[in-house]
Amino acid sequence: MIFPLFKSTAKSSWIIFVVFTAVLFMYMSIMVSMYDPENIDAMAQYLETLPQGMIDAFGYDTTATDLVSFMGLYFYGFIALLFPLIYCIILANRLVAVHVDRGSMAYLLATPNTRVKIITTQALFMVISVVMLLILNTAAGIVTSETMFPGKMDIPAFLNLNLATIMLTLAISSICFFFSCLFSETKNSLAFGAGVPILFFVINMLRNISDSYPWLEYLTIYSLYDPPQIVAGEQSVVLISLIFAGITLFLYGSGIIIFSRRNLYL
Amino acid sequence: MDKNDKSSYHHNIPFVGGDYSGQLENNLPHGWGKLLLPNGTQYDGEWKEGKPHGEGTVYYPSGKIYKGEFYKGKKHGYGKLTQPDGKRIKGTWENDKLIKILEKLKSRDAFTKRQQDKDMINIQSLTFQYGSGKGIFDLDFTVEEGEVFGYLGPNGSGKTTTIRNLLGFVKPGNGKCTINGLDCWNNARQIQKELGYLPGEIAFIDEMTGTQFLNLISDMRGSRDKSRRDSLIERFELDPSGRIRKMSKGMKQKLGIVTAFMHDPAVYILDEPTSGLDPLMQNVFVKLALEERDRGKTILMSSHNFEETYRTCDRAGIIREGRLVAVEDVHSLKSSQRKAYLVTLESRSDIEHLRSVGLELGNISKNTVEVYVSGNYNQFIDALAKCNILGLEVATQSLEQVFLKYYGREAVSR
Repeated sequence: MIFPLFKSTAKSSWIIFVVFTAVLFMYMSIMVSMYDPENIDAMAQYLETLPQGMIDAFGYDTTATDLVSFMGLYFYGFIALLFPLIYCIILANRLVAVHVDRGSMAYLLATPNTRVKIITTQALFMVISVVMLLILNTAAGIVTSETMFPGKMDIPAFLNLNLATIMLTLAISSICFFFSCLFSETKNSLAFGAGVPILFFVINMLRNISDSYPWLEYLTIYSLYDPPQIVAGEQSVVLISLIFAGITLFLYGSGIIIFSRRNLYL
Repeated sequence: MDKNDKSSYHHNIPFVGGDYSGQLENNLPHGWGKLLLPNGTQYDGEWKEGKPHGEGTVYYPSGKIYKGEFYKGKKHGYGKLTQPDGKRIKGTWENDKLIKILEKLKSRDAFTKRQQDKDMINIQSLTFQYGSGKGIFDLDFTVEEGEVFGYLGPNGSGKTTTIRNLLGFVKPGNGKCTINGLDCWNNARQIQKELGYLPGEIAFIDEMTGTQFLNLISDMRGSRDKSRRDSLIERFELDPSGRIRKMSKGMKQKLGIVTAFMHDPAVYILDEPTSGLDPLMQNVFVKLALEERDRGKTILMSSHNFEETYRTCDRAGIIREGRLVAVEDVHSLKSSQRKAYLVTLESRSDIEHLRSVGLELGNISKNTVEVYVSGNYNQFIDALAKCNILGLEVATQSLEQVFLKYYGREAVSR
């Protein structure tokens, strides 16, 4: 890792990080405050205002009674996936493809550092900032729920759920990063780096709406992650974490290797 | 003697028994040229009556290199001697004797020792083709240590592509290029330690300030010495404190130059270094480049402007549609330069006079005629003296027009 480059990347990206952390925190606290252990009907009334298709798409079609299932259902099924996804798309594009497209990569490569070292530094920044974002989000969840409903949150189950979310988001970030390394122009790196994970996300929503296309399950990595089942202990967090870790390592590794061997028209 | 026939410049000179390429006067080397003696001594520079005279470089068979002024074949004036062991002395000379040592230059440590011969940049049958079919084809040339090499060609001729290969940004399709004996693709990291690079397209990390950018690059180089950087900033009157996004084109170019020169490398690769600079700053740049050369640095700079190359470079390569059409001493290039003058005459009949004496005429509009001159200045001036001249201007020309000899008429008319 090249520390000066890491520091400079952090300096130019911290504002995006702060914005996404704040947005997630805001949604998290709103969601927690909407939980009413005495009267779960309030949520049901809120859901009645939404069209049925939308409820299905968000995966809100079952009811939850305890706080962690409530969060798993209403927060981790949609918002906790969507915002980190957008964060990954923006950051991955900025870290590699923009430097290549604009030409500033030429200056970085003209320093006595190998391409592998330069691009690994960018990959590390990506991984660390994604993990940080979601750890802060986890902490925000625990703090807000303990403040509003002391003792109501099943913290081990909540941590399990967040571990799975972090691993899933890392796998998503590896897709974005891979395409950012692959193309010379930001329009291509964005088309694939944003297109592929968004497609996965949309397929997952379609899958929730209708059971008539069971094969959709095989077209998206989101289907490996089922928050209600994780909370209920019916899905092995270790197993899916290992699968996501495998995808992450493979795609970051491939991105780094491809970048270090390809022609760069700087 | 047909001046366009390059082979006729080569002569076996009986009195020295060497190979001379250049001008002869009374069968003696005169003007600018190269001479290789059978014992291995090689002189490259200015001549008078068959003897090195004026500025030049002699490579002795012992491995010594003297670069500086000569007087009647002897070391004279201000110059620099490199011993075979790499030690170097800068001093003043008279009649071959060292009078005063001005500076003992450091030998350039491991970087020089690894070097087998004096070629710093070596390009061998280098080919790189883009999908569109454009590219560079079978390039062959070398840049010696301590030389400023101009790389001339119009836009799109393959200058930047060559530089991409030298920097290790792309992998050669065929052939190879080395810098100081190291392969540009496989050993890019080692080469970068002693390389200063100025990209042709100015693109920095826009959201940074100039100072932040310079700090980032020197930190990535692991060098903390700011004295050279500060003196460069002062020389180019650069204000690096502002955001790069808001800098003018010229300011960005200066920032690029400081970035390329600040770590005092041994080799420079500069892609159109003076673009965007005003004439005053172009002079500052030329002076800096020549100073670096005198300190033993090697420079390859691309350009599409011959005048700029002439002021800075020792030799130049001319590239056309991806192929090298000539590598020549800039002084001999100067003589094959074809200049256009716009002559405004009082009467149209004078145009006929200019034509009748054999001058090459171009566009004629009203009383103004374009006259091409390549070396035949006497003929041109004699002819003008017999006419009534109302105006005389130098016409601006493209590189293709200047070097019609290398580019051919079809390239110019296109």
